[in-house]
Amino acid sequence: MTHWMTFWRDLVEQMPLIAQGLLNTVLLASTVSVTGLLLGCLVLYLSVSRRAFVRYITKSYISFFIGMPLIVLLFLMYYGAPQFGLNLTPFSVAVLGFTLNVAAYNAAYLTTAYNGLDPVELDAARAQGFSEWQVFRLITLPQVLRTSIPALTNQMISNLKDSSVVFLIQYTEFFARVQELASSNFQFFKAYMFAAVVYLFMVSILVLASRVVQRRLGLSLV
Amino acid sequence: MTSLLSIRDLTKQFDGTPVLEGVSLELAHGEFKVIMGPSGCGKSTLLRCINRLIEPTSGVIEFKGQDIMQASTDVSWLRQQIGFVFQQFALFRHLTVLENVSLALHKLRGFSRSEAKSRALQELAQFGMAGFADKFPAELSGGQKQRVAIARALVMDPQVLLMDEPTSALDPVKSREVAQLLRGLSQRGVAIICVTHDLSLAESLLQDVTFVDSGRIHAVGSVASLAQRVDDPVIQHFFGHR
Repeated sequence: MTHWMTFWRDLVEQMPLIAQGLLNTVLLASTVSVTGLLLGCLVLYLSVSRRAFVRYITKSYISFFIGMPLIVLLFLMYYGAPQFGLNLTPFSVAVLGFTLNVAAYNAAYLTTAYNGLDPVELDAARAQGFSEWQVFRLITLPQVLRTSIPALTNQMISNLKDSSVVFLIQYTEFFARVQELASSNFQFFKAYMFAAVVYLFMVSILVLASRVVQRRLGLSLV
Repeated sequence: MTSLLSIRDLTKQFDGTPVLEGVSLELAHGEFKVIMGPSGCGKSTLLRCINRLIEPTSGVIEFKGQDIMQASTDVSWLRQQIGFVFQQFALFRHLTVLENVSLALHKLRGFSRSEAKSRALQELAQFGMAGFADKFPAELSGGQKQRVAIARALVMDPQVLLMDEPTSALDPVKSREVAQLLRGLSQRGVAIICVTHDLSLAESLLQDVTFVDSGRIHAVGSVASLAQRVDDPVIQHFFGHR
């Protein structure tokens, strides 16, 4: 019982720092979810280019960043790049590293959805006089985004959970603060269970939001 | 009648395989041309070349006296003048019927969203589809989709309408309705090229038929006159035992 009381007392004491860490986590996860989606859409646009060279470059990009562990990428940029005079803040490294990684996954999801489109529908848009960019923006993108909502939601959940690795590059997010809490009173199980419950709560909000969006768009729940 | 569309010696090869070989035809203002032939004879490729969805290997296509294969051709303008109705209708699945018909007016012709929708609604009303304006394509029958696809092409007020197998996804009753619809469009002054392998449609259109086989124009005449060519194995094979 005293263990619980000690834990709760420390938790309340450190709550301002933990709350700040939570805010940093949400900031990072939401930022990279947006930037990763935007870059993913750009990669999709390039990957369906009529130019074979552009398609090759984008496919290589997807393969490279899906194949490279995120932590290696973050370490390369945070610990490796300064050896060449490039010093970035932990947040900048986290956003850049995550964006490159997440965009590759998102582009792969969007490409899968693109392959399911009826090519004649795209020809119908061209036949009406729409430019290739208009066909992409008005016909292709809205459809692939809708179809990809479940996969994109999963990616956002991954962004949220994976953001915990950035404490290794000195970005003090939620999990880093929980570790500080755990090491201050040695109540590791309670501290990490607390972290698990908070992550689960945030993931549940994302899942519920995704279901609302899907229901509004008339898509079946996956 | 002066020629609106003129095609001379058109050829198209895919990886060295000829699909169109020396096709020539003329289409006048308000003329209705029916092109018939077996599957894979090059009918759809011909339509796609006219709309520049496919680049021909050689030959000349002139629209209103202008060579449309020139690099200076404004392809968007050309396509707005030449409407295209696809075999499977190809409606945009994520848009409502009204949005399908109004999108090009708004984005290409510069009409405000409300003006584009108002015009689209008028066009849909002409085909009895105004009541379906808020439906999505998945909620429509084949015949309804066909009418929406035609309305979507005609709302741009094209001078030529290309129709690719307009009845391939329809039952005989709906096919007859489409034939009636096409005759009505022709009377409206729209020049039409209708590609089909549906003999009953060709008959009910009451037009001479250009018969294409293996990428070449094989014969021209009414369905009845073609059917009587007992000495022509290609036509007899296509027409079967009538």
